[in-house]
Parts: sequence; structure tokens; C-alpha cells
Amino acid sequence: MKFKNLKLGKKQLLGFGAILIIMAAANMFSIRNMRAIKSEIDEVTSNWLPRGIAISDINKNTTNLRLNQLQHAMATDEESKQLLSEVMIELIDKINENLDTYVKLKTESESRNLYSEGERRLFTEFDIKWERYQELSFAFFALSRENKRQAAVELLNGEAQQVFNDFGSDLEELVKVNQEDAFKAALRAEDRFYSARAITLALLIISILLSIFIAWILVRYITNPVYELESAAEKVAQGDLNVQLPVKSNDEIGHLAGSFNQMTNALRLAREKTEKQAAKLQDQAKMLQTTNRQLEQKNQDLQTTMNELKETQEQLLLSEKLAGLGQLVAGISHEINNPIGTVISSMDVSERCITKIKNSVNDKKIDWGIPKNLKILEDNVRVSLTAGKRIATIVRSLKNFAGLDESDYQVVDIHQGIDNALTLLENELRDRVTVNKHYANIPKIGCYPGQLNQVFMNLLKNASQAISDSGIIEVKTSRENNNIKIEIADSGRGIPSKHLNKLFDFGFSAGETRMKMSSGLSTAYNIIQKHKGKMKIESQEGKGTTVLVFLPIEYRTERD
Amino acid sequence: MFMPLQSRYSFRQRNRMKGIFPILLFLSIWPAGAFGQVAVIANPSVPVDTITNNELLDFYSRDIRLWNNNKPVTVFDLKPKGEVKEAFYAFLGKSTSRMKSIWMKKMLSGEGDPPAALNSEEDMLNKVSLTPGAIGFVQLKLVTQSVKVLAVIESK
Repeated sequence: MKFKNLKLGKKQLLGFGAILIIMAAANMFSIRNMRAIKSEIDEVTSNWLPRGIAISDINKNTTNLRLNQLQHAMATDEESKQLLSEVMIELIDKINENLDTYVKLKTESESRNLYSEGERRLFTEFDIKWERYQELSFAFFALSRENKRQAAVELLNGEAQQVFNDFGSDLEELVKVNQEDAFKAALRAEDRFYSARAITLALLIISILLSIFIAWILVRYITNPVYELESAAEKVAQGDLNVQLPVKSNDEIGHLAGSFNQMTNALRLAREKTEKQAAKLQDQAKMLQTTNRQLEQKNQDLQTTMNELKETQEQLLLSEKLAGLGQLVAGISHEINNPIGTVISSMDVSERCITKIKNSVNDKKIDWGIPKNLKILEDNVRVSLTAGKRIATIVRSLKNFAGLDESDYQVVDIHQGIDNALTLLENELRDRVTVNKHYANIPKIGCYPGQLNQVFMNLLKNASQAISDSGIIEVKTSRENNNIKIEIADSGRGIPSKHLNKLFDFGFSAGETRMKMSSGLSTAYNIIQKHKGKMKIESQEGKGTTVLVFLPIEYRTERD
Repeated sequence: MFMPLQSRYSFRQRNRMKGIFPILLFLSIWPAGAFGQVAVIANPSVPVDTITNNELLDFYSRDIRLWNNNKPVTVFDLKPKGEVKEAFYAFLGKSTSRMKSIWMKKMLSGEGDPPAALNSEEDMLNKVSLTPGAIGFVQLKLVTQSVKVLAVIESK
């Protein structure tokens, strides 16, 4: 696996690990060398020097021994011989101690291969000579003990002297060799110190250089890409979305660079899209402006149309009113025609009766015809009177209906209005419809009676037309809180529920028979609204319709 | 950090150990030796049948000069240097030179003279067989019925 494909953590671990290992190696090397130098110096101080001292001591003590031996030979009294013997025993002990010390140090030195061959040879020779000297000493002591002084001194000065000198020079040589060796060892230690110092320094420099190299690699693989990323991010922040980072490695930074590129691409696309949309939006705004202007134009047109429509509607209302009036006039004509016909025919009969009676009176002939004619005449007068009264009633209703028209605001009893309407509709209702009136004691209200009359007229007419053959219309008034309630219920065909919410629409009609009053309910609704009242229609198909009108009693305000 | 130093020593020790093997091999195939084994011999009158090196050292350094039966102990030394003498002194654990020092001290303190040093192993055999309570040493192959063998020193 390539270094650049490693994760950041591994890169750092490898880098710093390498630096650590190099440093540790350098340290270990120097410590090892220092230990070696120390052990060499220790060798000199704890081995060579004490060894030299031991040899010197041996030399001193053997010399001392020999002096005591000479004194022993010279001594005459047993006491001094005894004393010298004790001194010599001590000296022998000391020499043995020295020898033990030396041999121990020698063994140590040998185990480290530091004991020189020259020293070994010298010491072996010394040992042999020392043994020989001791053998000679046995003979000397035997002679001395027996007070053969002459022979003893000769022995000491003869072969013993020679042996003593020999091992004495051996010992001196040993000291010399020992010193030389120690000096050499010190020199070696010094040499090693200098070379170790040089190598340690070199290692230090190498490790510093290596560390710098590794740090450089780390910087190259970690820090530099981060800097690149940072400057790229700055560029992006300043709006340059064409920045692309090279993806150099497979570590987190490499992934980051990849993600960064993706992000800038996405941002660029998004910006392009936004710009396109902005342009589109601008176009749309322009279009909207145009549309707005057109709309305004159309609005004005509409206003005009509506004004026209309103005029048309008013005209329509007027014409409808005229139509209604025509119908009414026709009904009323018929209504008036009947009694007038009755009056005319009865007057005709009466005239003839009067002629007959006149003839009889002129003939002075009183016969049975006179009472008969008088009777007829009486009947006719009564009939005519009734007919005349009827006509008078109709005319009064008509007058009431028409004379109270429009504008004038009055306080009236609405029962009168309902009655007037019923009277005017009598021709239509008479044979087919039974009208049941249930009038409660309700107060008079302020209103435009002419308009309300039209409402009653329309509602009653609708009710009448809803009844095909024969039926009942219930008219009921009552007081409900601050309103009066007028209820007009018919037993007619009813209104399908799908039409109920269209009832108050202008021009709605559910049947041919209603064509003429097509705008009836709508007109009624408008008038009731003008009076701040409410109107409600309940209907069940096949069973009939109930129209409820609520008018406020408090309605007193004069309209402007 | 201390490992290199240690390993240096252990390396040396290994080297030494390696050195031992050829020596052991050499010893194992060498015929019982030019001189063979060394026997510690005694006059048949001595009241013991075996002896350890420490007991032997006590006798030779003249620290103990009487047997259990209060008969005097006589020890003999061999004059000629050689493998037999070396083997015996190695068994005692003292050098010939150091032994001389011990004897010199005994002499100076008046505790006795050094043992007689004989000129040959035949002399040694003869003297030991003739002197009651005597101890000496010769090659095992020279031993006769006239002496008692107290210990056999395995040759090196």
C-alpha cells in the first residue's frame, strides 16, 4: 500500500513512529556507549588500580617478612624470636589477603578477557618463586630455631636472596605492566568516548535531518492539501464555483477534496439553475404585468358589464312588475267583471221587472205579476248590492295594494298586507285552495308596505302555483323575541333538495308554471334583506314547502 | 535500552558455553589419563575407611593432628610437581604456595613442622604403608594391598 493512500492517523503514526525509532536508536546507541565507557573506567578504578595496589602491598609485605626473618636469625633470646614470629604470622596473613584480593580481581578481569598474557606470565612466575621462597623459609626457620645463626643467615643471603630478588623484580614488573594496562584501558575508554561522541553527534544530525524529512513528508501529505482546501474554500466563499481540487491521496483529505469538488459542482449547478429560474421568474413577472394590465382592462369591462347588467336587472324587475301587474289586472278584471256582470244582468232583469210593473201600473191593472216582479226586483237589488260591495272591496284592496306603493315608510299592521294580497289572488285560489289564517296578536312594524305587499304577493302566488290540483295554504303569524314571524306553508309538490340552495338566485325557476314569477323569490329575498330581516325556506319533495319570514319589530329607522 | 549490553554479555556467555562442549567431548574420549585417577591412601591402621576433601584439608593444614583413637596423624607431601600433585591440591582446594603459607604459620607459631616432601610416588606408597596413622596420595594404578584407599580423586 502506498504511503499516500494511508489514512491520516496512520500517516502520522508512521511518521512520528519513524522519528521516535530513530531518536530511540540514537539514544540507545549513546547510552550503550556510555555504559561501555563507564564499565571500562570502572574496570580501571575497581580492578586495575586495586590489583596494582595488591601487588605493591605484596611487595611491601614480602620485603617486611624478609627483614623480620633476618632479625629472627639475629635474635638471641627466645622472647624476641617469639615476637618476630608473631609479626611474621601477621605479615603472612596480610600477604595471603593481598594474594586473595589479587586473584579475585584477576579472575574478574579474565572473565572479561581484559587480563593481559604478560601479567599472567609474571604472576605465575611470582607464585612459583614465592612458593620456593617459602620452602627455603622452612629450612631457614629450622636452622634459626636450632640457633644455627650462621647457616641461617647464609641461607637467607644465598639462594633465598636470589629468589627474593627475582620475585621482587617480578612484582615490580607486575606493577608496571598493570599500570601500563590501566593506562591503555583509560586511553581506550577515552578513544571510545570520542568516537561514541562523534557517532552520537552524527546520529543526532541524521535523526534531526530524518525528522525534518519526515515532517516535510507529513506536511506535504497532510498540511499542504489542507491549505489548498482552505484557499479553495475561500474562493468558493467569494463566489468562484469553478474551483476544482486535485484528489492526490486516498486518505481523509483526499476524500474531503473529492467531497469538496462534488459540493462545488453541486453549488455551481444549483446556481445555474437558480439563475435560469430567476430569468424565468423575470419573464413571468413581465407576463404578469401584462396580464395585470389586461386584467385591469377586463375588470373595467366587467364593471361596465355589471353596470349594464344592473340596469338590465332593474329593467327586468320593472318589466316583471309590469307583467305581474298585468296578470293582476287580468285577475282583478275578471274579479270585477263577475259582480259587474251580476249587477248588469240583475239590472237588466230589474229593468224588465220595472217595465212590467210600470206597464201594470199604467194599465191600472193590478194582477198577480206585480208582487212577483217586486220580489225579483228586491232580489236583484240585494244581489247588486252584494256585487257592488264586492267590487268596492276589490277596488279598496287594489287601492291599498297600489296606493301604498314605493317610497313611503309607514308603521303598519302586516296582516292587512297579507289580506290584501289574498284578496287580489282570490280569483286564482277560490275553487282549488283553502287558505287557513292563524293571526297572532303582533305589533305593527315600521316598513315599506308596498314592498312587503309584493313579498306576500310573490310568496302566496308561489304557494298557490305549487299546488297542482287542490290543497291548503297555512298562513301563520307570531312574535318571536324581537321579530315577527310570518309562516306561509303550502301542501304543494315541494322543492327538490338539490334546488334548495339556488332558490334565491336571480331568475331561478323550477317549473313552467313559475316562469312568470321567475325572479319572485330573489326579489322577495332582496326586499326582506332591505328590511334587515331573514328569510328561510324548508321543503320536502312531495309534501310541501314552508317559507319563513322574520322581520325585526325594532325596524323604525327612516331610510335615506 | 539495556538489552544490547545484556545481550553482549549473554553472547559472551554463550560463547563460553560453546567452548565447554568441545572440552567435555575431549575429556569423555580421553583414556583414563596419562596418569589416571589419584587415590588418597592411608596406613591400614587408620580408624577410617573414607575421607572428604575438607577432612583431608584439616589433616594437611595440621589443624587436626590426632585420629579418633588419639593416634598421631602423619601427612606426606610429594616433591615433584606434576599432574598427580596438581590433582591432589585441586582436591584440597588450596594452591601449593598457599599450603606452604599455612605450614609456615604453623611452624612460626610452634604448632608443628611442614610435612615431609617425598621424592617419588613409590616413596610415598612405601612411607605410608610403613608409618602408622599416615596419609598420602599416589596414582590409583600404583596402589597396593599395603595401603588403605580413603578416596579416589576423579581426574580432570
